[in-house]
Amino acid sequence: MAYTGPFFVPQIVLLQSQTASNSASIVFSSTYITSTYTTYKVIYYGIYPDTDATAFNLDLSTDNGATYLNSNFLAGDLVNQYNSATLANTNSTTTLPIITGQSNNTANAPICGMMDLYNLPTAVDACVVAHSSYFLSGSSFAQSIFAGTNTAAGSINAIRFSFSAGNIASGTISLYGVKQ
Amino acid sequence: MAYNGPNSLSSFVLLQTKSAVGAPTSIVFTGLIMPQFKSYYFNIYGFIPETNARFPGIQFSYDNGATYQASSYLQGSLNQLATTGVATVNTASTTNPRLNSGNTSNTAASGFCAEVWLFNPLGYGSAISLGAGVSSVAGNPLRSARSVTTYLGAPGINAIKFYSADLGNITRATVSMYGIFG
Repeated sequence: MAYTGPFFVPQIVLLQSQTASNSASIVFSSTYITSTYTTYKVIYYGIYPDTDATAFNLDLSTDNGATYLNSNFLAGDLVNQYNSATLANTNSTTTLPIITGQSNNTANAPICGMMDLYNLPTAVDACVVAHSSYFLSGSSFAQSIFAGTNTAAGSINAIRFSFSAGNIASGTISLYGVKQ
Repeated sequence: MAYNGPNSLSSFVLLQTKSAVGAPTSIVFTGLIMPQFKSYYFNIYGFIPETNARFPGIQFSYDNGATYQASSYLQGSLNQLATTGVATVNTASTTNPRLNSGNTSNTAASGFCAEVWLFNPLGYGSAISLGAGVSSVAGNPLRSARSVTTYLGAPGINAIKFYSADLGNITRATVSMYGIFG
């Protein structure tokens, strides 16, 4: 086993950070999604939709964002409200709904969280896991545990974050490459 | 939109590591929340409370640790017993945000371990965590836990403390704080 020094610093490299201002979407293109990394990490915070109760989706592209995949997804979003014993699951086969139902008018609880994306450029076994906090519209503060994959994806070279309706009013999303 | 890379350096920067020495009431990180880091990562391991059946918890400060906010939180924790797979949901707290609801044992050989993410503390943010620890309940099963916390006060948090919510000291624990560029 190699000695890694007095402490081990994980080699997680910031590739790009983008801040939305009433933006239709935030896209990380093939400039950043490359074969250099097989695993990526995304950190997001301060994210609000301009339309209430919409889903915050992640979409995958194999042609650098010219089109986005809309089938062959297996995705599940497990939601637990902070003061509830109920667990609710939302499924999708057409996209990756990281969050479902974020409020657009609760100033203290935007979407915050982190996500790991595996095997994007390798054409097989691309999958996404995420853990987020948010404010469920008309309800309460909640956490979301998300997992998704696409069973037919080719090599992914762009990803897009957007709401199912309306724009991203605000928020920052940062993309990191994980050295292996 | 700023182009920040490629960057050969790690974007996770170790800021400080602290261990519980002499059973302190808390482990605090002050003076380390800075504008250049929007998010923070904490690695906590070996957390043993002095009082049995307590919870590893966090609280935030506006005055760099002189006082810590003791109200206006929204916190929930989703827990799962490793032995049975049964999920349990903790009673939520608005005063003592907890990293688990597992009633952490004060006699276990291995303490509670977790990763804690703190997002945008100088703005409107939140904390989420993923951890596991030996429970004090019958049979001492291992519980995994995912928790989320938000603070409903104004932005501007500039210190965080880890403690035994809400009773007793920390017998043993080590916590490392990383700043995250981006």
